Amino acid sequence: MNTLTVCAFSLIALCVVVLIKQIRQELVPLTVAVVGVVFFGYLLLSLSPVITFISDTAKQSGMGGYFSVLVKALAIALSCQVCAEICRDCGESSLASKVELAGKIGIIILSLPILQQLLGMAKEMLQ
Amino acid sequence: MNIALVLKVAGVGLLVGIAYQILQKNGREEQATFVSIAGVIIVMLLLVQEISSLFSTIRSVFGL
Repeated sequence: MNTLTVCAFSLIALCVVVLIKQIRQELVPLTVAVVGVVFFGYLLLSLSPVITFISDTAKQSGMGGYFSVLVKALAIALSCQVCAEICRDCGESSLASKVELAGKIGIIILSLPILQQLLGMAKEMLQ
Repeated sequence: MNIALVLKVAGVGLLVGIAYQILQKNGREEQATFVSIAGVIIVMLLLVQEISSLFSTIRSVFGL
């Protein structure tokens, strides 16, 4: 991950978006989406060593099952956030809030089995 | 980081803008509209390819 590359990319993308905004209005949302998707892909690729390190550590400590749920929740949160940001940039904030709601529902459904286990454990302890 | 894609989108926007202006000045409103729609579709195809590569990246990074 090179911070200077990120800065240069964002500046060039800004110039492109401003240029497109003055020439053709209907291409602005697509340009914003292209910039967001390319940027997010680069950031994900630079995040992958961190994820592999944490997953290796979790597997060694015997928490691999819980960690996979955590990583899936992180993936859902990141994708929904980026998608919602793109929607909000194009002026559709209601669509963005729906995408965020979908992400919350997905994470809750993902974490239901763990919650069930926790409640079962509490029940056993009480009995 | 794929800066070429962003520049490609900028190029498409510029070309479509110029073509639109020329066609409009010559009184060919319909063809100008078609050119504009064609530009939108080209950029959308680029975007769809990039989104599919982004999803495969997400799957490979997070192991889904």
